[in-house]
Amino acid sequence: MGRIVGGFATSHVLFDPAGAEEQAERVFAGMMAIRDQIRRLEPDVLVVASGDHLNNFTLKHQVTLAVGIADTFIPLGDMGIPQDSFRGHRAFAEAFAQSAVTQGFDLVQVEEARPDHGLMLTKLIADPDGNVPTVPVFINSAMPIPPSPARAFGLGEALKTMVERDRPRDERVVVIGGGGLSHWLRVPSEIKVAETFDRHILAELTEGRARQFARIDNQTLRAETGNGGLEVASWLFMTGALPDRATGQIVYYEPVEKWESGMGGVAFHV
Amino acid sequence: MSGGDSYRINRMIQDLNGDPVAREHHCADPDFTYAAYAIDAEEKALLADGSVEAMARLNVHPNLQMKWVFINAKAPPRGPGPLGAYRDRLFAHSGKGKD
Repeated sequence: MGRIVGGFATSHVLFDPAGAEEQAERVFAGMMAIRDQIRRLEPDVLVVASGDHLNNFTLKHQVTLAVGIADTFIPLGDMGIPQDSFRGHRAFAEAFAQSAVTQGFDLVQVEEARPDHGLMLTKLIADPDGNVPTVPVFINSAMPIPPSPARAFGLGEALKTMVERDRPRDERVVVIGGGGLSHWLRVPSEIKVAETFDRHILAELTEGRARQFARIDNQTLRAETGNGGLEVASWLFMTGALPDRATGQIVYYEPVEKWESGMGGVAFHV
Repeated sequence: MSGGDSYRINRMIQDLNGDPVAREHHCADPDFTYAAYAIDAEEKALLADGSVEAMARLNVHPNLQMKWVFINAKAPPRGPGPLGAYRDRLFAHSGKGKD
C-alpha cells in the first residue's frame, strides 16, 4: 500500500508587496516553510488540488470535480508563471479516477489542460524544480454551482482509500490544497478580509475538526468568506485524505487588506 | 437580466479570452464583437463602465469580469507581473523565471 505522508494547504496568489511589505514577507516566508517541509518528506507523488479560474473549465461546460491524467502539463502562464511543462502521473491519476467511481465520484478525466495560477503557484511552492510527478485535481469552486465542502472532503477520503488500497508499497504521497482564504472577488462587498472566520477555519482544520467543518454549506461559507473563500474546498479535499481527526500546524496567516485577501497556510505530517 | 441573457454576455467574454485573434479584432473594433453577440446600447454602456456594480447588473461571472478588465486594458501589463518581487526566491532552485 502507498501512504499519504503529508498534507498542506496554502493561498495561491501573491501580489505586489508595496504597502504591505511586512505582511507580504511573512506570507512568502510561510510559503517557503511549506516548501521546505514538503521537500523533507521526499514524496514520490504530489496531488495538487485547486480551482480553475474559468480558463480550462468555462460556463460552456460547468465541470466541478476533475483529475488531470496526462503525462505532462504546460501551465497557462498567468500571473507571470513560466510555461515550463511538468510531469503528470497517468497511472496514479487513472487509478484515482477508477477507484473514485467505486466510491461514488465520477471524476471528469482531463487529458488536456493548461493549469492556471491556482494549481501552478501551489505546485511551484511545493516543487519549484518540477522533480516530483504531480496529479492535478480540480475542485472548481468558481463554478456557478460549486462542489460542496462535504463533497470535496469526501473526495479526499476517496483518494486516501485509493492510495492505501491500490498504490505500490511504500509510495509516498503528499496532498496539497491551494486557494482561499477569505476574499471577495469582483462582487459588491464592504468586507475585504474576514479575519475572524479565517482564523476559525484554521483552528477547525488544524485541531482535528475538518470533518465537522466540512458540513458547512456553500451559501454560509460564501457569506462568511466571500466567493473566493469557497476555495477552502481544496483545503478540505486535502484534510479528507488524512487520517480522521488529524491535527496540524498553522504555518502562516496574514489578513492582507492591501491584497483584499486572507492569506494562510497549514501543514499536517502523518 | 435572466440567466440566458447573461450567458450571452459571459459567453462573449469567455470566447474573447480563449481566442487571441478575436480579442485583437475586438480591441480594434468592439462594435463588431457587440453585434455578433447582440449587445444592446444599455449593455454596451455597462460593459464600458466595467465597475463591479455595472458588471453585477449584467450578471457577469467574477472571473470573467477579471478577464474583461484585462481584455480592455488600454496598455498591456508590462514587467514581471505580480510575482516580480518574489521571482528570485520562488524559483530559486529551478532557474525558472530568470528572464
